[in-house]
Amino acid sequence: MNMAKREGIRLNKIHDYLWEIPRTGKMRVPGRVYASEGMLEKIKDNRALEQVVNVAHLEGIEKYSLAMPDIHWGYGFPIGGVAAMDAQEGVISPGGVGYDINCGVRLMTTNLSEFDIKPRLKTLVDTLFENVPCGLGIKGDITLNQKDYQEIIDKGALWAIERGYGEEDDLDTTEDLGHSPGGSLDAVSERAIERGKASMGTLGSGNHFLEVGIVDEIMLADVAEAFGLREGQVYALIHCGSRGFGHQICSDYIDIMRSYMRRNKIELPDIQLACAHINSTEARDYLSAFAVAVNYAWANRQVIMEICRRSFCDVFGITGEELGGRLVYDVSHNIVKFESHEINGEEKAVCIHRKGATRALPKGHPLIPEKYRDVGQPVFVPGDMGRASFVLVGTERGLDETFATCCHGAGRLLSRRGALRATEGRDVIKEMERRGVVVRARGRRTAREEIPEAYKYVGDVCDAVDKAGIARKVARLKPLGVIKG
Amino acid sequence: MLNSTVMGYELLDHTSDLRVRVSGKSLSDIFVCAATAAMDSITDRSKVAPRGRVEIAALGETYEELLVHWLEEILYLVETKGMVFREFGVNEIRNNGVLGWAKGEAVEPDRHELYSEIKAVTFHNLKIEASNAGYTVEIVFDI
Repeated sequence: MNMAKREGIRLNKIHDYLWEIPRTGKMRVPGRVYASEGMLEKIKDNRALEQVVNVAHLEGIEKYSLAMPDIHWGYGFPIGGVAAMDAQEGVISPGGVGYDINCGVRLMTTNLSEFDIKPRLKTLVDTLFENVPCGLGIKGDITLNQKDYQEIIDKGALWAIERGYGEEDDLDTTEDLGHSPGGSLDAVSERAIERGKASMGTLGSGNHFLEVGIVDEIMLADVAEAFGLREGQVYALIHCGSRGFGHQICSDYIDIMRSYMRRNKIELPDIQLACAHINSTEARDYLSAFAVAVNYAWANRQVIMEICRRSFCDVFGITGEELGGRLVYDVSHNIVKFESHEINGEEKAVCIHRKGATRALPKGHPLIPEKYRDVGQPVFVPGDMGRASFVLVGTERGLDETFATCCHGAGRLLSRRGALRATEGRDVIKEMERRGVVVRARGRRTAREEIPEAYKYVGDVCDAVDKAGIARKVARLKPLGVIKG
Repeated sequence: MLNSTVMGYELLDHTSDLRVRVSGKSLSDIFVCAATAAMDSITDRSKVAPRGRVEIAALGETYEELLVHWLEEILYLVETKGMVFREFGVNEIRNNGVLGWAKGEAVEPDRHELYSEIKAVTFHNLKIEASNAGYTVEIVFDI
């Protein structure tokens, strides 16, 4: 075994893409980091390993505190962190989900090809930019009332479909059929309700986006065929979440759980790991509010996808049927799920936190849509706006080693300040256009903060999970146009 | 926008979010400087006219919670009420509440360029430190 010390944290090499942090002090389990040795240097720089260690202190954590190759410093949990807790005895931590509850990605393919899109690319991106609300303070076209909220609780993404945003078929390829049960407005603050009222159908800002492009390369032909992907095909990739509604719920429950920890004298190395026992009232209330936010996000992405379909039809002068806008899948990367996994030879109920990490179920799993069951669950890993995004598929090894989880994105290399410094005096929009990508961003700094060189190359992140065997690369997507807030 | 020494905050590096160190002689200074830092990441305050004054109140069990809740109130006004602010003030801080104000106006897209949306104020490494020189605190905002 090779040993390497990073920031005072010992790492034992398991194989070229897997490192273990041995249990020390009050860690309840070891840490495990999926990354190449080269990636570890960057991970060390941003102190993410310290956070992997901190998560290992949580009560009820099973097997390992896990980290994906796109890991970077978050607050409490690292982004790219995964932790499964005993569903009876463990704790639940809102920071282990993230402020943006059910932030996730959906991929829509079309019947169009590169030949169709190139002559009208700018018009398409401009039209999407006009039609999809994005950016700070920008309101959506729908204002939610109490009845809407209750229907979102009861129906999830179906609420949006019943209002004319999409088809019921879209639910077949949405994780959990686009609905999480158990939500209640009683567990949601007035402030959250107010923040969510005008944000339905909005993209947000920061690293959220709507990207259009073409399927550039197929790596696993049989899986790609099952997913309905072909080279040269035009797609749209949507990345956003539950907006201010989810952010407020997370903030509210971090407060509630901090009080819980004080009353129950629970001490943790980082207050942002604020948590409560899963069987406590506080945890049950969080899960109830969380379920509302999860449904909000699915409804949000459903609305945006339909706006996207309509925009395509307007720009190309075609019908929806001619467009063939088909939802390949919608999957979350900020979520907590109750699942059953084999631990020490026995099936056990666990509560899995995936924060900046994506579920990746292998073929045969009953939770996968039937049409994909022979190949495995699709996973989408967006990269930066200039280079590539990837489609992956879940594996048995992933189920075994990482509770069926893999990476979610590229992970930043430069801070936002660093990106602004690096782009001082540069016209990033023009630079991207010269590279063949049309970018429209509401905030003038957004494009600069999101320049490709601010991110790790997502291909390296996907290579790491592929070589570690916890997911397989299916296709590479090439962005041609991006809208951002 | 960067490194306003008069108001006592400096920007620190953080891979994905906004991290600031705020300093001041008094706790009130900390609250004002933190609000200023947040606002400077959202817009150019020099373009904001102090047309209206909004009273802001927040509760909390510790000074750190008060600070977070104070900032959350301001961000709520920006996001939900469409306001931007030029300056802030604190009337009173007790150990369970803060009363203050903000002067600003409604966002006008032609005059106010909006830079970033702050999703949340985190408790990450948030500890108000007191010394002979005054107070400091580091705050990480989720962008």
